[in-house]
Amino acid sequence: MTNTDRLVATFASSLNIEASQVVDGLEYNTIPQWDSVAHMVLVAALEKEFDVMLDMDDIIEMSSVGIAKEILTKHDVVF
Amino acid sequence: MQPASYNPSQQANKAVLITGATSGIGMALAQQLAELGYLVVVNSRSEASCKALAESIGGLALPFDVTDEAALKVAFKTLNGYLRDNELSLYGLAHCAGSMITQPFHFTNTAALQQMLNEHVTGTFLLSQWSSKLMMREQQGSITLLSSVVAQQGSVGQVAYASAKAAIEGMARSLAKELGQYGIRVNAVAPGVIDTPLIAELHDEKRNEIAQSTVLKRLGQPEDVAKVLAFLLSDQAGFMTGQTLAVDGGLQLP
Repeated sequence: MTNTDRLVATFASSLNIEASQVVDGLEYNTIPQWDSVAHMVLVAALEKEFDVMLDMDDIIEMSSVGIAKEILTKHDVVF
Repeated sequence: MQPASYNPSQQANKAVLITGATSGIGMALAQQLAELGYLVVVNSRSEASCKALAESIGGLALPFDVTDEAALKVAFKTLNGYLRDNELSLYGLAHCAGSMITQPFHFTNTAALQQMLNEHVTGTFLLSQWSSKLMMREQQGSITLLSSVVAQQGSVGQVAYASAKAAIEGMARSLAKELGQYGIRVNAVAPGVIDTPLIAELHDEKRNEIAQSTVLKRLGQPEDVAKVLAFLLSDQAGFMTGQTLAVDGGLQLP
């Protein structure tokens, strides 16, 4: 399983959406499933899946799937 | 003797971070939780003291200054690695660190006020933020904070300290409301006068006067508070959140 696959699976399970919906352009608060509560569930799941600890600034900036990839890349996750 | 419902295996994979763990209430709690089977993560500013206590109770030493945000981040990343490698989860936080400034209001400068706010309010904020993020992974956790009887009653010479402690009670209630949806409970205890290094400078006459002002006619011991903290941390308090429990020998009774 590639890191992209893991990212998609984590987004899909945390937000309870189809994997096909997890594209780089998907943005926070543009679907009912990705609200502030789900955002922190997602953050916790991403941290666990990729074994990273995100800073508070990362959490605030993580406003799309694409940006989530950029942030994880900063934490040495390769896509 | 253990509580009837006590089951050591239930605590076996649960880690609890205790700040200020190398003296007073924090140390009493660290010893109690270790006996109950939790993995105790021992924090204070002193690396040597942390290591000594961690070694004696079979815990993990994690020294850092709770007011130093950069150091706190590094410490949590270290803790995350340790928990991962040992298949543990962070179940609890007990924030017991913090000093007390006692001086007349007009002798209290803003540096003293800022010190109290940094230790008690900013420290609580940051520790709760990072701890709850780890707890969210398992959708469970218990955060216990240290208020004080002076938060509700006020105290001559403790304007800065009482202000900071009052803020903690508001923070506990707000955190409880916000973190409950992630399975995380947040409570506080408000100790009265406890026989810890914080009151070491009081002379015997004053200590006796304070003791006589309680309903139980004695000063509290660190173990008195630690037992209540241990209860709030445990599943036995699983339906309690947003509460501040006084542990003061009846000092606040009208």
